[in-house]
Amino acid sequence: MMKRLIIILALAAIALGFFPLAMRISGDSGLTALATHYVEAGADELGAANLVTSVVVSYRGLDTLGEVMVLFTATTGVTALLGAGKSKSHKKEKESERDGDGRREGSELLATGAAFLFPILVLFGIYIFLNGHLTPGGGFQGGVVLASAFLLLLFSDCRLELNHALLKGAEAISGAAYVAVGLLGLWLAGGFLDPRFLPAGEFGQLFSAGAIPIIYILIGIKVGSELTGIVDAMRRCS
Amino acid sequence: MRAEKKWGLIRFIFTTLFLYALWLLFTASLEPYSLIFGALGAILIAALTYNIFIARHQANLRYIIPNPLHLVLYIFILVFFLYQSSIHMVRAVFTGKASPRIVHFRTRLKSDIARMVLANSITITPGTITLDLNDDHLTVHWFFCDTSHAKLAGEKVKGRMERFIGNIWS
Amino acid sequence: MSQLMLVLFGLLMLVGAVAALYLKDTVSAILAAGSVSLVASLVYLLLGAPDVAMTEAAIGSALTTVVFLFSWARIQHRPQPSKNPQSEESDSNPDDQEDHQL
Repeated sequence: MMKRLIIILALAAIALGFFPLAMRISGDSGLTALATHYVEAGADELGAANLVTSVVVSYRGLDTLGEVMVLFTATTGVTALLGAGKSKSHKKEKESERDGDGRREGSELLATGAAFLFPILVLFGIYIFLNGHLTPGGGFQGGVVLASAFLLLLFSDCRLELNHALLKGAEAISGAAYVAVGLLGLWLAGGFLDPRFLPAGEFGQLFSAGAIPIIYILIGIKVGSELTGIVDAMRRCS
Repeated sequence: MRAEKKWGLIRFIFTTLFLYALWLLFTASLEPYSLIFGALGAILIAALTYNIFIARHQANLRYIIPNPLHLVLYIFILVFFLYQSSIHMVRAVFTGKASPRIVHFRTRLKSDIARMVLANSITITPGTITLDLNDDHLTVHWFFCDTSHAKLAGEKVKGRMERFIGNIWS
Repeated sequence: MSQLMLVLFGLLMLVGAVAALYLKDTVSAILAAGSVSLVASLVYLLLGAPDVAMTEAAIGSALTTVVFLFSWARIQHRPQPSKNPQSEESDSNPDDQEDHQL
């Protein structure tokens, strides 16, 4: 009873602490000065039809690089802890063990659905990160959709072995290329990760907004391979 | 061997066309670069995944390409079935009349996709849930079970749907 | 109308969160937690942030749920060292042994 009372009091204290924040929220608060600049000048400066993209990739490009780094660190930690890259003898053992512990094959329902959806999801992921500067979406979203396509495939076939060298290679190369594009911006244009060293192109076309599409392709491949690696590492040990 | 190669090529081309049509649907633009990139992407993905998309054991393209007219018709019919069984379900909730049981039956559909659509149609209509699909064998949880006879149960649960789906992929 | 939908979705999120806390079955609790993310992505969509909504739907409700499910499966199927300490599995699996020592 006492414990419950303390919990209720603590909850009330938290609610009281956040009360001014709730009061300050109003439906039609105006933009701050910085946001106004992004909204007004963003389209002219960078030529991306999707304003969010120009903020995420260019104005706040360093933050995105940091997020990619966080994801990279998480993947490295997960694979190091769970030991996805184990030797072949272990893999064989795993195989026999699977037969032993009666792990069932994926249902045919799932297998058919996954086989039908896999190419579509891959195409959709590529569409999302290729058109990130035109329509909602971008590298992260596209990469996650790619990873979920592979996840579906892993679900439907428990014996499937992904090529880890390829996944790691794609991740490493795209990560390095991302930084290289950033450096190109530093040397050829205004600053690190400035996408304007390529021509801006015609507004609203696939080839526009400078290097933003290239950056998004790289981020998409990197995020996709990283998340697929995490999920595969989790699956191998479960 | 030759026949197998030819069948592989047909599957590859069909997958490419399907993916390219989807690309056009996604982008909804006729800008040349977009068209070229979509074609490249479709060919690349199809080359990597045509074996997954259309399994080698599928005997014929007839089992994969739907009849568009019947497909559109089926969507409306499915909505009708949804409402029908929802009303049935609501009545059961108020009267409390139900006899849930698991039934097994077989389907005569031959195409993998048709079987998947049938199983998912059974799941989406209230009152019946497909638990498993194994070749042509379906395991279904049926909320209003009144028979233990496999054929009769099958006819009651999926009879009408199966006929319509059989028209789509015939 | 939009405000009403927002309130409704917010309540749904609360229901999902409370269900995740109080459900006895862990798998159901994981799915409830995933449903919170799914509704949150709808809220983002209503508030005009489709980019965030896509990320939330894919990462929050799909991948996180799957990672939780895999971890749960691993916790449950952890090999028991007391029963068969000489089994092949625990010999060749240093990670697992470390877990047992903890």
